Formats: sequence, C-alpha cells, structure tokens
Amino acid sequence: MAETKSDNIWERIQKIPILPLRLLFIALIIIPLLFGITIPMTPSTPTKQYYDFIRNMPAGSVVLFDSQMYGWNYGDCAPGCASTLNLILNSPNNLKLVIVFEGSDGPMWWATMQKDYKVTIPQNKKYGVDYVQYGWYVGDERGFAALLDNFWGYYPKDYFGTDTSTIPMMQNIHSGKDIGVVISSTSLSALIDFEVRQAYGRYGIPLLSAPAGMTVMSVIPYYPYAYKGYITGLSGAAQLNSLMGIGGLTSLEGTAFSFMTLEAFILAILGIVGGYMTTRGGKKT
Amino acid sequence: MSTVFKRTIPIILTILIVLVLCVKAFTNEPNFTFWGQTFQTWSSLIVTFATFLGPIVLLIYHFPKIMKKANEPIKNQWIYSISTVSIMIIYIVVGVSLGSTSTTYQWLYNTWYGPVSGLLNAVTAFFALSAIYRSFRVRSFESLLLIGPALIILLYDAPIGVTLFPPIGPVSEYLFAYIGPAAFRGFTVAASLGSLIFCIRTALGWERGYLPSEGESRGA
Repeated sequence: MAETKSDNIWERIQKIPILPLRLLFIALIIIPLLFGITIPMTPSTPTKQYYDFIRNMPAGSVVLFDSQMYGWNYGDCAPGCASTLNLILNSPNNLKLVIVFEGSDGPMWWATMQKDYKVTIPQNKKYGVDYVQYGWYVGDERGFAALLDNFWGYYPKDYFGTDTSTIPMMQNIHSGKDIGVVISSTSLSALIDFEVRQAYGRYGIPLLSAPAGMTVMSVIPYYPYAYKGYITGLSGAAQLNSLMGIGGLTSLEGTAFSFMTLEAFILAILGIVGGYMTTRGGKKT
Repeated sequence: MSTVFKRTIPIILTILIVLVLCVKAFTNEPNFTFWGQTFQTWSSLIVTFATFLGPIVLLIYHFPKIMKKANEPIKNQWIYSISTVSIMIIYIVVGVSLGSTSTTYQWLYNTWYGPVSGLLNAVTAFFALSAIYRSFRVRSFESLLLIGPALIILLYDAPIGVTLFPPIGPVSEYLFAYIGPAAFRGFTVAASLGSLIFCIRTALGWERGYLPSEGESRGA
C-alpha cells in the first residue's frame, strides 16, 4: 500500500505542469530585485586571483580592456564589465585603462552598462589621463593583432574623435610591449583563443577574463598559465562586488540568479530521483 | 587568361602573404615586420568593406519579395520584408546623418534594439528550465557521471551555492582545474593541429577550397 502511494507521489511530481514552475521562476527573479534582497556570497579562488592580480599590479600599469558586449550577452557580460571598471578605477595603484571593443555594438552597450550599473568614476580620475575609450576594432583576430603591433596606427583617433597623438595617457602606449594585462569580456570562445595567441603568445602579456557563464570552459584550458584569474558572468561579478564591499544592481541580480538556480537544481534532483523511482532503473513499476 | 585571374594569381598572393606573416612571426626582420603589419591593416580594411555587403545582400533578398508581394517562405513574407528593410534604413539614415553618439541614435538603440536583443536570449532560460526538468534522467552509470558534475557546477555557478553547501567549492574547483581542462586541452590541441595542417596546405597552394573550380564563375 505504502509502495503504491510512494510511486503515485513520484508520478504526480513528474506530471506537474510547467506553467506554475515558470511563474515561480519569474517570481524568484523579480522578488530580490523588487525588494532589494541580497545574500552572502563566497568568492571563488579564480575570483580572488582576478581581484588580487589587479590590485597588485605595479603602479601606473596599463590595462587593455577588450569588451565584446551585445544585446544577447549583456545580462551576463555587463555586470562583470561594471565590477571590473569599478575595481580598476578605484585600485590604489593608479592603473591606466584603455578600452577597446571587439564588437560593433560595444561602445553603445558600454555607455548603457555605465548607466545601468551606476559605475562612478572617482573625481581624481580624468579622461585621457587615467582612461581612454576607443571604438570597434574590425577583423577580430587580425584587428587585435594589428592594434597590438601598432596602436597609434590602428587607432588614430579615440571613440570621441580626439587624436591619439594628443591624448596624454597614450604618449607611452604604442604596442603590446607597453601593456600590463589584457582583460576580456566575452561570450564567444574565439575571443579567448585569439587573445591567448596574440597577446600572451606574441607579447607575453598576462590575461584576465570576465566571460559569460557559458564561455568559462574556453578559459579553463589556459588557466592558470595565460589567464591568471577569471570571474564567471553575473555570478563572478557579484562575488567580485562582495570582495570590493559594494552592492548595487549586480548583487541584487546575483541573488536573483542564485534563487532561480536553486529552483533549477531542485527540479533537476526531482527529475533524477523521480525518473529513477518511476522506472526503477529502466523497468516501469 | 581567366584561369590566371581566378586561380593562379590568388594562389600566388596567398602563398606570398602566408610566407611574409610566417617570417614576421618568427623573426624581427624589419621589412617582413612592416609588410606583415601592412597586410594585417589591409585585412581589417577588407573586413570593413565587407560590412557594407550585409545591407546590400539584405536588399537583394527582400526587395523582390516586396515588389512581388511574396508569401514565401512564410505567409505574408512581403510585410515582414518591408519591416526589415524599413528598420534597417531608419538605423542607417539616423546613424550616418546624426552619428552613433547622437541622442536620437542612442534612444533608438536603447529603447528598441537593446530590449529586443536581450529578450531573444532571455527566453531561452525558460526552455532550459523545461529541459532540466524533463531530461535530467540517470539511465546508466555513464549518464550519472555526466549529470553528477553538471549538478555540482550548476550550484557552484550560483553565488549562493558555495555559501549553502561549502564542500561544493573545492569539488568544483577540482573539476575546473583538472577534469575539464584535460578534456578541453585535448580538444584544443587537436583543433590547433588541424588548423596548422590547413595553414601548411594553404601556404603550399594545395588547399584550394576558397577558389572557384575550373569553368565556374564566383558566386554562381
């Protein structure tokens, strides 16, 4: 009797309609964002390495930030870009930041990201002295190789039309030899590979990455040799924020992401156990 | 004469450029460095010109459908074609005339393109949820080996995962540090060797897949 009842429960669980689960999914995303709920987060080892690497770079080092943000990967890449931008601009070692874009949409999304995630540029940091923004470099790997060989030749003007030769910060930045680290934010494996080949392989520049969650497996083969650390998508960005002691939208999104992942995890466990109980290893009871 | 232009000259150019780039990569010879960088810049310029091909191809595809009020490949295709072409023209006109940093273009981008583009990716989350619920089944020992680590990584990827279940942290980092790279590095090395062989074949003029065959016109 008890066995029949148990089987019925598992079968009922298997037949739960998907609509309520989807509604729960939406609620778990919305509630933390609406009510400002945040949870404690434990930074992973690669996140700590990412944080430590940037904070421990020699004073005045040049950071080349290669962003590949589009609409479809914005949710996963933008938090990492915002957290990294906060980390670099507030780092005590006075880093110099050069921003370039692998995608044509990059500059647009960069501006949106700064507004959405309220990236505050410290008052002592000035455009052209502490950071510079360039536009889209065309040709993927060929473009990246060309700009590392001859930065001024590839980018005669910055994104806003100022001559590179007149930008104070750029006076000491001519090629890959002048760059201290390349940080990439992407959801495409190709960007990871060509930065390893062109920046690490040809110039020995250490790399950091803020990939989207689905791209992290492309970073792993090169970690911890070429890539010294990485933050994985939204989750990594939230962890980085917790290391910096700041909250904001990233932490809220991290909480929402945690809740929806927990639901997915519970459903997966129910699916596995329920599937086993109803079929008993392949034999329907 | 036709064969010379279609096959012989492209093959000679390919071999020449590959040789220059190879010598540049392995030596510091100034002439090869200069020409290598020049070829890279030309390559970027060619890609820029290729960007213009996109709108032209789009027009070549959609314009006849609008003129003929086509209902293929889907019903009322011509209405969708009008929509596609109109949106493209609006973005091009505003972007070229006012610039991509103008308020109008930013508004068009942030109000329309951004949310629609994000939405396309976001809806896949719901399909992923259904897939997890319905397809995670342990039917064999091999599937257990696949699903077990997948569940651990799923939880590790959520910021709350390690906080709730601390042992997940070291287990996941072990998987990331040893098991994942072992498989992925093998894949990367194999793919790289394949690329290397392809490059050598191209440099020697043996790889001719990018050329039209004898008597065939390009794009036919």
